[in-house]
Amino acid sequence: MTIQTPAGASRSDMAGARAPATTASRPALTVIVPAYNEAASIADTIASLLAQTTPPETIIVVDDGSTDATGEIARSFGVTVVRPARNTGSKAGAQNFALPLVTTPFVMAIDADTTLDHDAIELLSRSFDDASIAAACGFVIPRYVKSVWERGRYIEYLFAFTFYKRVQDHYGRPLISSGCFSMYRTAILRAEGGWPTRTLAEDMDLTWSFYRSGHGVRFVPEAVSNPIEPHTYAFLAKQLRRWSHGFVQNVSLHWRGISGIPYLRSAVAVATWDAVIASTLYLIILPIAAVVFGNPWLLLGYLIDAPALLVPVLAGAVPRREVGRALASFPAFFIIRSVNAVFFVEAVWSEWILRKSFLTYEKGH
Amino acid sequence: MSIGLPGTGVGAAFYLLSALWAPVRTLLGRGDRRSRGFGIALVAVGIIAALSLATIALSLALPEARVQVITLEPDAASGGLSTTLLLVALLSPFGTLALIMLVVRVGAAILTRRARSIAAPFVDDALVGLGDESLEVAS
Repeated sequence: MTIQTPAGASRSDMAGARAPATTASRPALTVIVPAYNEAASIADTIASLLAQTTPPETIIVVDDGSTDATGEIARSFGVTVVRPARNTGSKAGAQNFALPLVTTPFVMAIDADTTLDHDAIELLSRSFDDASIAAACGFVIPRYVKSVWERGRYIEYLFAFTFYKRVQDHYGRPLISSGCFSMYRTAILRAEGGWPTRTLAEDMDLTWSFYRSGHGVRFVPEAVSNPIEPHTYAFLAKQLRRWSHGFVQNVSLHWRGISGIPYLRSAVAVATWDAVIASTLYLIILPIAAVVFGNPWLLLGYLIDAPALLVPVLAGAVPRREVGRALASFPAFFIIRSVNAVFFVEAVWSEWILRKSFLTYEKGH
Repeated sequence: MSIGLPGTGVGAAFYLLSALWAPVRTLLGRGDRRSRGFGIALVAVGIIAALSLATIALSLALPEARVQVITLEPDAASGGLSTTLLLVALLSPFGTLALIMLVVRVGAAILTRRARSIAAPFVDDALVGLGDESLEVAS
């Protein structure tokens, strides 16, 4: 069965739009899964949604012009599959394509390479008992931890989600409601115009827009998602380019607007300083100083904070019973941090000095 | 997404102080009922303890290296200079952070005053200066 959507695209399998019932009552929730050539991972994503303790009322997969079997695989699960006439150009575009079809008061976006712990939706839903909350996000931890890049990202996430994000949440200002796994009030999301496409970091843009409109955002560490992180440098580079340019674009777009939001403005100012000044010092000044002063001990500066990093990392790893994995992956973090710094310096140089805004969405997980 | 240099830089100082302040904030009645902040403060204390132990261990294991790192001169033996530079190295992130916070606060006050002075009845304060002209006028 094929139905024309308002956007003029074909919408298949409406009869199977409802996910099969499993256990507890369903939240009035629609999950949107944007997918472009995700045949290898989409089945796991949908299966994890259907296996939730509180499965969503509706699952909509946006097959965004895939050339592989993404649509067919999704359809085999009995969920709604919609396909735009042509590729929308970004994850936000694909999600917006499905937004008019949402009839539930809550909507969730999840990447097509992300799985959820079985109770993630139930735990995340509880945030919305507070009427001021517009969006909620959960803990993110890579599903596979094998390559050096995945290991570095694993430590980065353990650190950030165990410490930084919890601190931000205490002050009521999580910096980003992560795009790979977030839930929203549909009406507020629509009032903001859906997922913004004006920057490369639509999740950050949307989060800061919520704050500016007076809404709240929550981080729920118990709700865990497992995305597939870049396993090669090529994929990592695409992701970091998108993130770094997206951050700089959002600072340019929102800096005046968030100046009236106390904790957020401080966190953004500090992040900007670290992205611009600290990254430059880290990459350039430290090695130059070691050469100029003929003192290789200065290079210890790259590792000097290792004990400080290890505490939150272990605090995050112990409850997950992943201490061995965390210790084995720890050295990789220092590599990915240096790469991270390079991309942020490049983004600042390109966006603010050369005035060349990078707006091409490159898929890289 | 992690921005900048997670774990180091001024950001580390900012989150360390934020975490230590969180339970105090709760006790003062300014906290959020969702999170009392004791857990993150404990992590912050653990970070400080780990850094202190690492510094002591490094000093004991590599006394020459410590002098070299701190004074930048392999043959320097001035303990007074070492201590001064060590304090500078430890305190500089917090000094920088204080400066950034001051600039942010003053900048925010100026922007707020300017926004109020130019705000017409149909302009939404929250949208002033968004950077996207089409969004500056409230519907």
